[in-house]
Amino acid sequence: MSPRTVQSPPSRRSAIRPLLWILLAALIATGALLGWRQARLARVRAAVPALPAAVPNATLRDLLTAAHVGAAGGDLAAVAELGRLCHANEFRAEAEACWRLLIREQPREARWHYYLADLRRSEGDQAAVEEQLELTVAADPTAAAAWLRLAEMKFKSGRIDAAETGYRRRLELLPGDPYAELGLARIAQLQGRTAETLSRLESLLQHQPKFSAAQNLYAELQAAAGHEDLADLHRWLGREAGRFREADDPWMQEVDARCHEPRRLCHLGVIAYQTYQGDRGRARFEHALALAPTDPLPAEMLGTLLLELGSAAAARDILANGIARAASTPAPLHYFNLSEACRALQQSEPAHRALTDGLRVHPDSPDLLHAHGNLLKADGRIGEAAAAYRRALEVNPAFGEADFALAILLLESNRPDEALRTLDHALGMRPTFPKALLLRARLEMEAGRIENAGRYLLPLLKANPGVPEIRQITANWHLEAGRTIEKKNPAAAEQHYRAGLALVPDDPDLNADLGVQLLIMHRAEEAVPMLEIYRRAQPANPQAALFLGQAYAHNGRIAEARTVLAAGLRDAEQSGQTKTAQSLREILTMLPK
Amino acid sequence: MNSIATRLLIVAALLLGGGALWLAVRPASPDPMAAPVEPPRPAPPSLNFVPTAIGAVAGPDDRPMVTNLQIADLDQDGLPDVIYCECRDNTVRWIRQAPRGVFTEQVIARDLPAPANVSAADVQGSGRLDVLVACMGQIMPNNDRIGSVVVLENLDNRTFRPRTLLDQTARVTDVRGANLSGHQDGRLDLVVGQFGYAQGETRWMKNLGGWQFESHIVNRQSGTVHTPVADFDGDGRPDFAALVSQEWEEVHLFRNPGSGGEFKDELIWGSTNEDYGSSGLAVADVNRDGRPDLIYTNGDGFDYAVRGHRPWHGLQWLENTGGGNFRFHRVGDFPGAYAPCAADLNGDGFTDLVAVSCFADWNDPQSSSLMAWINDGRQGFTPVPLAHRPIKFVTAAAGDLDGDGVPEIVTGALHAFPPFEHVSNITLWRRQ
Repeated sequence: MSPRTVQSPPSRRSAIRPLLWILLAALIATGALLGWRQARLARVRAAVPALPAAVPNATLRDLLTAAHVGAAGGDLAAVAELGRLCHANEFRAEAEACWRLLIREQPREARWHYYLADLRRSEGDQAAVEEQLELTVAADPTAAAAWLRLAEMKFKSGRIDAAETGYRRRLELLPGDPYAELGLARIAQLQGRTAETLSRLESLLQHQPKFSAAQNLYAELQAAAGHEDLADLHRWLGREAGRFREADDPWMQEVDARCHEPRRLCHLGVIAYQTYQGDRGRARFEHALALAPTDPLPAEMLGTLLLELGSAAAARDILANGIARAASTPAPLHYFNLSEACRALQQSEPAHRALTDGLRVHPDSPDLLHAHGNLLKADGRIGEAAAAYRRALEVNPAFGEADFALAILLLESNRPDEALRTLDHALGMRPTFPKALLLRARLEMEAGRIENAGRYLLPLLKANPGVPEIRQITANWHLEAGRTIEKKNPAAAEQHYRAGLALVPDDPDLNADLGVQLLIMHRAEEAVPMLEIYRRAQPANPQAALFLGQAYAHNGRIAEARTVLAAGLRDAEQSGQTKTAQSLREILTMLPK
Repeated sequence: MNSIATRLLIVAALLLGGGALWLAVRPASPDPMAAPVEPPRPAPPSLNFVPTAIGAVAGPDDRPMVTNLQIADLDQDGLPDVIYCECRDNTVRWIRQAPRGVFTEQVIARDLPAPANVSAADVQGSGRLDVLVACMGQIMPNNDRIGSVVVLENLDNRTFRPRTLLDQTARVTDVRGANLSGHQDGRLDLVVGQFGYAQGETRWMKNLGGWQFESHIVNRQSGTVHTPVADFDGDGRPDFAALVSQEWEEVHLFRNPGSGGEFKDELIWGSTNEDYGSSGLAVADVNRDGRPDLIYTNGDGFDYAVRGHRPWHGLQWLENTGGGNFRFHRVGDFPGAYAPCAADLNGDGFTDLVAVSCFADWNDPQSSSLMAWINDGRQGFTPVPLAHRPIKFVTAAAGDLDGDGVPEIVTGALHAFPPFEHVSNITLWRRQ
């Protein structure tokens, strides 16, 4: 028998050994993990900033405290909340500590870099801003807001190629984005590629006509090209588009939403309102008022906004409560707007009281003095009203409204020379003050100095080429000026009529006068279109038929002439205009059969 | 379990555990993300400047509205004078120093439309200093083309004749004389900054002689505040810079290309904060390396519906690193900062910086209206408040008015907004 190899069974000890090793390793790993977590907790705790000392209200204090408790427990989400709260409420050092902590613990989260960049931007630390923005886009290449800021930084430090890359990246992420388009247009402009600049701006404005910065730049480029009328139009469009607003920034909105500092809320509210985000502005003012009911500023802001939105009763209540609760002196505008709200509600006694209350604490406020003058005038206290206006002008000589009110008062008191001097003073201080220009022009026209009136109207038109009322008033002036000189200087009259029609092409009187003038000058063919417009505008006016019929007749359009003249004759007979009817009959008889 | 696999598992677990343990117990290394720690600053040096009102003295009920001033020896009698403009009565005034230490004011131009800036320059090479006036037409925001450039021609060092060189243009905020064209007969061209409002311009006007000028627009952005002139690129020809505010908040450089060439627009610095509030730009050799640097304030608050602190308001300088290249340095925070100027205030041989404030929180008595930053010689600056009252300064200049080698500071106040208190017009500050 061959010897059998007998394999001994593995001992229990050797079977257990690997398990022991695994258990040991697991224990070490668990211990290490716990140790690591403990160390992280200690690190986080050590780096969490202390709560800010001077917190302006209980709401914010409670929120900060809650976030701080979580943060001190090592909860990074709580650290982020604490950071946002501190950032939004201008506790910059504490916010910066939170962002640095989070960057250390979560280096791949782009937002922490972005927030730190924003803080450093406020401090003017350019190098740190750029470094953090670069880290932001490295961590999140889809961070469109960071790409824009980065592109702007590069552009503004003369690194045009890098800026272009940033703008293009932003455009890839947000196709059609006006800020990136504007950036690329500016690069083209700086590099002398005018045609590309214009084409980029035109494309931008086609989609975003309310983008004021592009309108303004486009206007100046048109002026440079000699297209002054187009430049004026775009200047006006730029002005009407309102203030420049920064690009929407969702990450910063997360921060701003945590603002509970009343003054900063007011500031954010004004920005929102001025950039046509009125609802957001109103919400911020309301929040500020709730947080600081004895601070008059939020009440003033909210009341002013409500008044502008046409909610006079709500505005009155907010403003009156603001004054009643105020722990410090409300601003002159607060009293002024309260008075205006009362006036809008036809409550003259409270309106008066608001102004006298305001003047008691702000005796030299031009706005209050002027408004008080208006109320005094309405009460027939003319001398006192004039004194109030004059005092307002002593305090602020550039206060055109007071000059204007005083001029009206002087005119009504039959003191035209003084009124003119007052208006001239207003225009000396504010050369394009519309009310003064219009009144000055009207006075010139009433005095028969028609051409002089243009000195006041034309600058007004240049500044406001898109305002229909001003176009109409200036067109009317051209009509009057043309009529005044048409006998002495028909060519100059024609120029006036044409200038007026350039402003209001459908104006019946301008069309009539130019048409008739051309008829007289034996340019009947040119007269026809104007007289057709006149006839269309006043189809029942026999004179319109008379002029158009003659123009047709002179052009050999006999059938049309006969139709128009016959209709005109019927209208003239029906309305009893015997002379016009007689003229129509005579012309009809003279028409070839 | 396969013994090899088991061993590998054990080794991996040990490595993992050991690694984690190491991570947990490793000594703390310097944190690259930690906020930079600034070394403690020495106590601010003591500087005491004492105010004296010069020119028309403001009473408590007055509301002076000085917009700009400059120190210049207008009659060239060897005694520096002060010229200034104000927009309450729309005048330009000359505070003449004669004899030394005695200042007498006279109005040298009236009815100018909102004069915003004055400077002295011999425009036609007459040997007399004319006064260049930038007129905005209206100081408060307006986009209409109501600006003008007026030169007060110095006829005999006593009388001045106004000449309007440019009008019906975007509101003008700065005009300076400079020989940009290489004239050989003493003539000077003009550099003109035009704020406008929504639209504005920067231009230079070539002096053709006989008070005829030819305009060349070099930039069409709104918000140009100041246009200081210097040979920034060191080629022997004067260049100019422009501070463009509004939504742009940029500093541009226009290098002089020499005869026949066109000035090219270069953007040398800008803030991405559209509310930065650029308010003043001036030339000074801050580090005394022979190259003109730019000093720059941001603190504009004319447009604020909610007045108050903006943390980014302050003073900075753009170091000219040669060839017209610049490096940005923040100097310090200063709410409502305007009118950067430079002088060796403490006589230590280094260039110190000065700015004033128009829009600080004037309800706080500790708000500074006049501030210096003392240079340690390595362009480390220590802020030193020089005054808390009077308030609302919008313009300042530094120069040795009394000839003792110690610079004085002259400030002008603009009282356009409440509170109307601690009022002044022109104030001379002498070091004690």
